[in-house]
Amino acid sequence: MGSGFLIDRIEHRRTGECHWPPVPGLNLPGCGLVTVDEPESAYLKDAAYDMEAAGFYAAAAGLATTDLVYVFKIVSDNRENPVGEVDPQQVPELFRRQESAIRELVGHLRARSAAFTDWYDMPAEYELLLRKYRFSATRRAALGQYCRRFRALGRQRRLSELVQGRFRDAGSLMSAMRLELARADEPGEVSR
Amino acid sequence: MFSAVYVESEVRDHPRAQAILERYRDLAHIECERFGQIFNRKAQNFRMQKQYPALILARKHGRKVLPAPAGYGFEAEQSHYFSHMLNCIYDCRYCFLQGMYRSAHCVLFVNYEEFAASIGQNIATGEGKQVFYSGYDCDSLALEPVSGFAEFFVPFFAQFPQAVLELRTKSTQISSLLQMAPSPNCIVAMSFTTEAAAKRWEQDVPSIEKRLKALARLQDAGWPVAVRFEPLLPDPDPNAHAALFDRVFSRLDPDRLHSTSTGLFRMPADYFRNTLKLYPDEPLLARETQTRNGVVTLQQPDREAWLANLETMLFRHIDPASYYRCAD
Ligand code: SF4
Repeated sequence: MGSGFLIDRIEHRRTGECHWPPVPGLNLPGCGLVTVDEPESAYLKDAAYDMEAAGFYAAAAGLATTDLVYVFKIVSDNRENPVGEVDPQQVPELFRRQESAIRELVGHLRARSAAFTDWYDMPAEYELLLRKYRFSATRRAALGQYCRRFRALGRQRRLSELVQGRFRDAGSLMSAMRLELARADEPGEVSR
Repeated sequence: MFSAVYVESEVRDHPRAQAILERYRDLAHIECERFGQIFNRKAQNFRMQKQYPALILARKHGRKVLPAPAGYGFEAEQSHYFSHMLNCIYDCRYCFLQGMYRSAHCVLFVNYEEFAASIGQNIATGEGKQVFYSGYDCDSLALEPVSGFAEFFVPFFAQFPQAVLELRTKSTQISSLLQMAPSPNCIVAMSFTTEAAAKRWEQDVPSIEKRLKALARLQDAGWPVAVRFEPLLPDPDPNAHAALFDRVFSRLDPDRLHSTSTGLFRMPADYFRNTLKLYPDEPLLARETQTRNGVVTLQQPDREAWLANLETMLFRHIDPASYYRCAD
């Protein structure tokens, strides 16, 4: 009772569907979990039991990369302490006992998610240009790529200059960007 | 090295899987039905997974030996490849595996005996010199202490002098080879890029110095070794390639080399697109590229002249007859 586990395999008992949340190499104990539709009383498998994880995981995995979706289970009942005897008053205490593990996990997730944003966010110039000119959907996608390439090649200053410049329309802006990107092949010293 | 070991129920009791599970007894062992349930899932992020890759133990079903892609490797009547592993423990930014697979986990197929049976069949029914490449979907030796791949396949190939096995690697895991008698039909081919490129784009890969030392040891022990200058990447220092060639051929005996090859950076266009999506901040991938016949290469206006110049430099060290250039 009160133990915390980072779940590495979720099995939905009714559908047989399985999910495998990531194992991030933290020093947290891990185990498999069975999601059941009715409160469990037999606890036959060497696994944790709950009534939500399979649904939660499937829904969350549809919204973000699966590498950022974790399931942490705090055991509130087992064969010796059946689910019918769980005292709701004790629940905050169960959480308190796992506070450091939860903090570690949240810290880890925050760091990963910050890295994710850092890798994939769009340079600010992209939005500025979208506001300044009219782009078709295809050109909009290409604009995103060009802006990122400017940044990756360490030519952010040049990109800012292009944002300040006056072009007849989106097409001529993009021609200028293309020419600029083709100009020097050597990557700049700084990539961001 | 790994964060967890996934294991297909089917191979859980396989002796090779058992030994690996025992080796990683402190990691979580997670069972699955088929490796694809983990490896081929949608919405995975290869780049993020590279930070905590897992090992997946599986059985390879279906065809185990495939024709080598056009332009891969040296001349032979028949070229094949087989992959006991998918993915690599190293992290080279130019590697096509990151664009090919959704997952960065390493899959190790433990049914070597079934691979051997397929290879044996290919040899029996094939004609002339047949080459088998093992380092197409992985690095052949990087996981050797765990996989025992060379330990199994080198003696197996030794029974078939008409066939050649190429172990393509950037690894220094050569102990198992050094414990065997050198096999004339097993070539250890080591890949090199310039010092600056290696430092910048080959994460977790042993240094050039260590690789050279390992290759020289193998050559001294009588193993046929080969050198692969792949991918050739333009270097800001115009003398970088000359320095690399001098360094490599001062440590190896060029007269005893099986072969030397070069190849440009090239990647199938869809893999390149995927890689670019993963690393939009990577200067190497942000450069101008050109796509021809579905293959992306870096754009270089003076490419032919540049290559010719590199080859002239190479031929100061090696016999052109032992050289080939991979097609792009
Ligand atoms: S060593 Fe080879 S297989 Fe491994 S990441 Fe580098 S290029 Fe890819």
